[in-house]
Amino acid sequence: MATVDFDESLLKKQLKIDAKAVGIPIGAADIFITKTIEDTKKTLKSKKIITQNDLERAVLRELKKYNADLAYVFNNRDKII
Amino acid sequence: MSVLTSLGILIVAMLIMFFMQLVPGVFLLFSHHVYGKYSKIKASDLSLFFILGVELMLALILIILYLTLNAIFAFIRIDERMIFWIFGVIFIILGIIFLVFYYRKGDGTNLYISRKCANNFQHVINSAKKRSDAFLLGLISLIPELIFTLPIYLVVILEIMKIEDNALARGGLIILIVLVSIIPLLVMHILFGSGHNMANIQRVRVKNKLFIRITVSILFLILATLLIMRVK
Repeated sequence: MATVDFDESLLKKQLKIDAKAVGIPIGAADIFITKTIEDTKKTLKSKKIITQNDLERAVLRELKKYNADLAYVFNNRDKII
Repeated sequence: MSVLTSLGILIVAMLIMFFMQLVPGVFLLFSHHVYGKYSKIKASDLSLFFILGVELMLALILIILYLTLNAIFAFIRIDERMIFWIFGVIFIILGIIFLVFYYRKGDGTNLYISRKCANNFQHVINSAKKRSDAFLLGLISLIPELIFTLPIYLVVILEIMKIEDNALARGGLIILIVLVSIIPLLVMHILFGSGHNMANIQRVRVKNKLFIRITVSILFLILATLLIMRVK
């Protein structure tokens, strides 16, 4: 399992693109994406090694609280082709 | 009977092309990306250029096959019955391969193509900015699926050559086949334009995965049967 560097800006950028495509207003998306990332960081803070799976699971758990479609897109982007 | 069999073969072949999933999958990812990155008008424009690329590539493949087969038949006399037997067997094998290997195991709609190829598509999608990028992506998205579609294209061309002598009518049939093949893309384009998103469409694709696997496998077997029937 690969360990990852948590690239916050890249994740934020991708989530913003996904949120706009899903039809979430930009303002609302900005607020809960920031919140999602903050909460993800809190969740992963205690871990010394973060795997890609840990990161994706944590982000997914947070996103599910705000928007089911966005969480679905995040979870399924690499399962389409 | 012969014309009816030819029409049956053409209709079944078009249905198989209609149900192929790689190009719609790439288009889904592409549309999601451009609708998320650009304005609705620009995204719609780029999506249309993707569809145009697919159309052109398909038309080019069919025309090249038509010209090649025409040239071959002008110089070499090939036993038609043998060709239909070979294609019959190929379609039985493809039907089984489709049923077993077309979708990878898992909860998404991951296809048989290598993960490297899928990642490359993702990379090209993420960097697409201009109409030419969208057009080229449409052109190349047909290629990895040729393992399933090339024999179908060949049979379609053979049947078109049998049904009609008129070059204009043959061209018309090729255009019809191209149009039928892009219906799924046009439907997705309309859905995106009317506010649907990737999550909605992908849920439907996942739900219909088993249906598509079984339906296309059966269609391959029907196609094989029609070709083998024609030999007798």
